[in-house]
Amino acid sequence: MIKMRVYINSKQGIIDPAGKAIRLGLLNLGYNDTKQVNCGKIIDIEFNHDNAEKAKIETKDMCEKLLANPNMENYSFEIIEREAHI
Amino acid sequence: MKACVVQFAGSNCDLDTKHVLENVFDIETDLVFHKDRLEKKYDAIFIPGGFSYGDHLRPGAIARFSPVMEDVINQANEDRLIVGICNGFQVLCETKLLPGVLLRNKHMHFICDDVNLTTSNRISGKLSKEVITLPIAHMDGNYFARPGTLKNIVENDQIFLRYSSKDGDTSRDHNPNGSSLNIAGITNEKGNIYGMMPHPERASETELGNRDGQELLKAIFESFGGL
Repeated sequence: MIKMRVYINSKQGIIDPAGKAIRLGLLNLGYNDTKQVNCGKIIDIEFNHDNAEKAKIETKDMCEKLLANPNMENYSFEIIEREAHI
Repeated sequence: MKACVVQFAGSNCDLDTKHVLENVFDIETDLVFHKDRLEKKYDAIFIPGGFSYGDHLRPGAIARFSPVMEDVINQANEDRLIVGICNGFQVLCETKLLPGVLLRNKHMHFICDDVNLTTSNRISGKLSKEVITLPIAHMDGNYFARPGTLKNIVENDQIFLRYSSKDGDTSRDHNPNGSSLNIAGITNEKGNIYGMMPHPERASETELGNRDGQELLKAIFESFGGL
C-alpha cells in the first residue's frame, strides 16, 4: 500500500482571498509579524499496490487532469506511507 | 429550434432555464442527465447554474468529467450553440471550452445582487438599451486569465458582458467580485460558446420585474442566426 499526499497551492500573483482572511485573523490574534498567508489544499490518495513509480506517474497525471488547475495552481506530492503487501 | 439543459448532481437552475426556454421563447426543451449521452438533435445546449458535485475541488472541475460533457465538447466543436450560466460558465472554463478560470470572489463573500452590465458589439445592437441589469448569485465569479489570454479575448471581441455602473462606467468601482477587466461573460473565439456569471433566466418575465435577461438571451440567439 502506498499513500500519496498531494499539495495544491495558488500560483504566485493569483489572488488568494482565503489566505488573506486567515492572515487578518492572525493579526487579530496579535501575530503582527506575518507577511503573507497562502491557503491551499491537501489531498491524500491511497493506492491498492506498492509500486511507487506507478503511483508517482499516476498522481502527476491526476494533478494535471483534475486535481490542480494549471491556470491558477501549483502542485507537488510525496509518499507519506508505504507498506509492502505480505 | 430544439434546446436542452444539462443536469448535474447539484444543478439548481436547470428547471428555471427550461421554463424560460419553453414558456418565454417557445423552444422545445429537454433535460439531459449528466450520466446520459447527448443526442445530436439540439440546436442549443444550456449548462445551468447551481453547485455541480457540491463545488468540491474547484467549481465545475468534477462536472467536466461527466459522460455528457464529452458529447458537449464534441458538439461545441461542431459549432453548436452552448450557453453556460454561473456554474455552467465555471464548467465551460474547467472544460477549456472557454479560456480562463473563475476564482473565489475577491472579498470572500457570496454575492446575491442585481448588477449593471455593458454589452459588446456582437450583442449591443440587438438590445433596446446600452446597459442591462441582471441578478448574480455566486461565490466564485472572479474571472482570471493570464495577460496574454486577456489580450487575445479583448482583441477578438470575446467579452460580451462587463460589470458597470448604470451609466455604463466599467471602472473597478463597479466590479463586484474582482474579475479581470470587469468581465461577467465571454464567448469563445468562434462565437458559438457563451459563458456568463449573471442569470438571464431569472430576469426574463414581467412577473419578476425585469426582462433584460430575455433580451440578452434573444440577442444571443440572434447573433447565432436566430430562433
